[in-house]
Amino acid sequence: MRLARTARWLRRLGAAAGTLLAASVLVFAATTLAPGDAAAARLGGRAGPQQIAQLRHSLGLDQPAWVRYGHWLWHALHGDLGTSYASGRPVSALIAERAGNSLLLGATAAALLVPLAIGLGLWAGMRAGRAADRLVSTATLALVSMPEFVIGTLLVLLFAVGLGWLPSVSVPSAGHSVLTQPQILVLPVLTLLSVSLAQNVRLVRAGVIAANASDAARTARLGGVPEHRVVLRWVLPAAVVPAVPVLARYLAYLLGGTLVAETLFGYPGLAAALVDATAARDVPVVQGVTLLVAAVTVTLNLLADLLAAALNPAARSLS
Amino acid sequence: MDKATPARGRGRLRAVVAAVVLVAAVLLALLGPLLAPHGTGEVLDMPYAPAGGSTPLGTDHLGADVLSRFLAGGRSLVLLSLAALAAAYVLGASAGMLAALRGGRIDPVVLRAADVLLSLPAFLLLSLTVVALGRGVAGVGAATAVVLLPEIVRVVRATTLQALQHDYVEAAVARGERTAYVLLREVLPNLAPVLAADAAVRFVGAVFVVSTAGFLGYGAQPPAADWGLMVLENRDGLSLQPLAVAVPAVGILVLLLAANLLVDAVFPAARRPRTRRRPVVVAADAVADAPVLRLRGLTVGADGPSGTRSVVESVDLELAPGRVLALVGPSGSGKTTLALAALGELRPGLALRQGEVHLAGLPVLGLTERALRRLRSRHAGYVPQDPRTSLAPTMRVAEHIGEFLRARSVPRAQRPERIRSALRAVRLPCDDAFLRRFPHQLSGGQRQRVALAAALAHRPDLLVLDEPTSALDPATAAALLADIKRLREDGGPAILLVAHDLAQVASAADEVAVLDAGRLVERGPVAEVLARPASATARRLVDAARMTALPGPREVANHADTPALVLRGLEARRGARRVLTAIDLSVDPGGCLSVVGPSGGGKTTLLRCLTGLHPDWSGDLRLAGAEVPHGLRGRSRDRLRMLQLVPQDPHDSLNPRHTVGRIIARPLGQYRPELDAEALRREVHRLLEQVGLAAEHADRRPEHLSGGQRQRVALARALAVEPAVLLCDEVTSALDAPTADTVIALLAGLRRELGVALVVVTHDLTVPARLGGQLAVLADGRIRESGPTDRMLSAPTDPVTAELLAAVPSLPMARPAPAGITKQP
Repeated sequence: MRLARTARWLRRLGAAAGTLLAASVLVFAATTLAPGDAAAARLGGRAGPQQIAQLRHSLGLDQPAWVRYGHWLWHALHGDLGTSYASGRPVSALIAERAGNSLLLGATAAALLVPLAIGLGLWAGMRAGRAADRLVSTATLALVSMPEFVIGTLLVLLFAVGLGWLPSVSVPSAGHSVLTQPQILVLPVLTLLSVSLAQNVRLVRAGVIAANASDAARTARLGGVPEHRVVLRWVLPAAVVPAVPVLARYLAYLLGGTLVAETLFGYPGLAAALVDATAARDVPVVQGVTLLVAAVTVTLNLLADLLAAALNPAARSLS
Repeated sequence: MDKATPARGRGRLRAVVAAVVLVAAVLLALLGPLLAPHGTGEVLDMPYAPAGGSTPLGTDHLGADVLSRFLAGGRSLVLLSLAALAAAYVLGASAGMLAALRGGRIDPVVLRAADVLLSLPAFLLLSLTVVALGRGVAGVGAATAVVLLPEIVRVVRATTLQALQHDYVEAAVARGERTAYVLLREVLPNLAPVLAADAAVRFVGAVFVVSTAGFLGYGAQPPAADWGLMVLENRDGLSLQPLAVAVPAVGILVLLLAANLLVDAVFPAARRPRTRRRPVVVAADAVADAPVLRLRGLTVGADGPSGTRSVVESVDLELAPGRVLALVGPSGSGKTTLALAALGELRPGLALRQGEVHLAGLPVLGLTERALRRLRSRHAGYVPQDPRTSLAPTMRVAEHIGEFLRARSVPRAQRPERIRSALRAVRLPCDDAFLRRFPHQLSGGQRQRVALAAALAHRPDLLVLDEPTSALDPATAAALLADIKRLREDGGPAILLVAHDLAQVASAADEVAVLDAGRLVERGPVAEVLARPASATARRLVDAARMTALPGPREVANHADTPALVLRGLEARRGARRVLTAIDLSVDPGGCLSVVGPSGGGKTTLLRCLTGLHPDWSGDLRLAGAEVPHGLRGRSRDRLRMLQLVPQDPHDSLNPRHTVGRIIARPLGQYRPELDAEALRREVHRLLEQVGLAAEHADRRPEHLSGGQRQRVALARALAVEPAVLLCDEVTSALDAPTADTVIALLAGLRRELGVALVVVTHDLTVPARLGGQLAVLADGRIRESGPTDRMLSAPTDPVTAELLAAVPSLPMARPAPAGITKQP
């Protein structure tokens, strides 16, 4: 029994490693597939063929793709992600500088997402069909219909341009950490939260409604179990367990995919670096950032599986 | 409840409004470029000029007209989203269907590929694809398709797998239809609505991704107009000219909101209107010696599409302490509504019209939420119908029962002992290991007993059991009823036992109350109602009870030289597990062989081996003396014709998209291609009449037929090709007793008239008892015992047979009392 469980988790771990490896091939293939020549791009339009060939050789671009992939992966595993074409700085240094900011933004949003999604979903679900629920349902439906850049823009229009309460850009002053100016985090966090919160509230609400109407909850009520115990022991676990994998995907998204929020507010995070690098075709930066985000996502999904299994007894003993 | 109809009307109104807005938004986006007063790149004024003059919405960061750019900027968004969606759907649906159909090596490869794409957040995939293909419309279109692809693959694969499991698909495969026919005619029509709904949701996703790509500057490049791009370009002038940003943002918003509202209105999520109770009375202390339950003139109404109707009408009922009252009636007669009303519960959509309910002497209706809870926790217990859903999956056995004790304010220290004694009372183990089990680690019967233990743990005065045995197999149900009998003898609570099958509950109850269309039509001691049912409803129930309880076999010996079907030494595996061992069977032409056994004994696998759906077995199968290959693919048309399957579930054995006529005509056309349209129609009518249906049924769809009628259509379909052997898989298990009896009579008649041999698989011993012929008992993958049905039923030698026999309900006074004898006063 215990042995089987360990074997199962080892298999799951192996699958996650395989996924990550496949993702790395995908990242590498997509970035080297890019039309145009990296060496030519780097030297600008006036370089002669001689110079380009020389640079190609020194960059290793004249080697077959799978050799370059092997080199790249080997170095990446040792923390060396190459140097940025645009700035000439090591990619790992850029990531180290930006990752903290992204993590701060994502973690703040994530810390708010989980309790708010479960709380609001439960609150609305237990009042299904009443005015409070209709309000939450309509608001979340409106929110899931707005791409983040639209919501972010509207927030800026309201809180920065209109009311003047908060800054419209979130660039920390030179030499200062983001933590010294927490007010610049407010609008990016709200933007990040909007869509993911709306989606998850809807999910939890639907689960609560189903669990609340279930035979099991009715039996408990007909047996005189007090309402708060019915909610705590019957409704909540049944509603939250199926939401866990989805919540985890959104956490991964918050920690890795804050592309829009960072771009919109000029926040110095990883995703903003990725957008700049995509525009400039700065291949090493794109590779490094995507690989890191893929690793974070795969890890979080693995943790979500573990958590879902811990919460759901039926899945725990299923082979 | 007056809310039901307006709510539905409001939903439809909302759907219409959303559809109109969506069509208008899409039309505006598509035709907008034609309406634009100025060119998209034409500079008319200074940058960020306010609205007025020739620029009704002002100018943008270059001084171009915002209105013109807005009108021109929607087309690329809508077209690109649709193109990406179409591409992703063609690719994803092909991959998903292929994976589901072929399985084998393709399935895991497709799934893994989808997993890899899913492991990268959407906007990361977007950036990667744009790096690979370059900025611009093509790159964004491809990127959007890549983002949508993995989810589509998964949805299509899952839906296809589900569609392939239907009995009608298996029936088509088993009669040798080609894969293309199965896919196009049986699978795809039922897939289409699901995929349409999914595509609508994905369209919203596509617009999301495309517009965001525009905002990130990945898509259309200036001076082209694009709503997402406009938000990016004009952001810096937000305080000077907010319209330049707000107008395209609202355009995107309206498009997406309308699409979402439409999806939401057409595929609504579950809504549960709550019934509000007005606080009137607060519970006082119980009055001793009164009936535990007293209903007076109880009338419960429901609002239907055609006005209000009564679900329960003027019912008077009393139940004395310790007595067992069986509440029986056909489905839809209001039994469950009445039983729940006894506990003060009305399901959504139902309302109390008049009458009163007293539980332990206290009024139940009109109590506050809190008072009602106290009343229930002291006096009532409830066990629902379906053991699969009656326990919360996340609570252990001890936790579950403990919650009910906690509700009764039993101190924590006393709970473990009370839990154990409750489990002992329902004959469950009460060791620590059992206490720690979760519902999924229990059998159906055990779950039902845990629910019963929880209801009994706080020693209620009234126990309501809502069809507690209908979801259990006969042996488990019989054991549970025996326990209910024991509870009564040990001085347990008064029990209200809801049932649709009189035979099952007759031995456990003191009294019977018969309900029909919400009215109480008969009430009296069990023996008396059984002997002299006064009402028509009661007579029907008693007749059905006699059928299920009284086997009356009649055997016609029919010995031929070559058996219709012989099976020797069958051994079957599922993966590494051996599920069937050394099975020998034989049935004569026109003979009947019943294979009986408990669930999980290998009955279904045996049938799948015989039909060739499960090819992984060894042994020797002969039809009319000729050897038959194991798998479907090796079998000739004639061999396939000789063996026809009648699937178990009549609700799943007919394709809902086809008419009855078409369902029966298909095998006819397949095996008798010489028939023209007119002859085909006549054949269909003849077959329908043969199974006791009329010609007019040919034009109906399965949804308009009852369960019994569907089963007859499935029989007609199997008979169409004139088989030598009919394989019947639990053909009666989904039918109520009177209907099951007519289907069994039909089978016996077909066997007599057409000389077709029957192989009947069932868990119900009353089926072979009425069909006669040979009987084989299958348990744990082996034939435990076989021989003539008569002998085996009268003198079973194997304990499994004896156990199955014991599960057949018996009536305390089954035969009608002889005429002339009246009851003594």
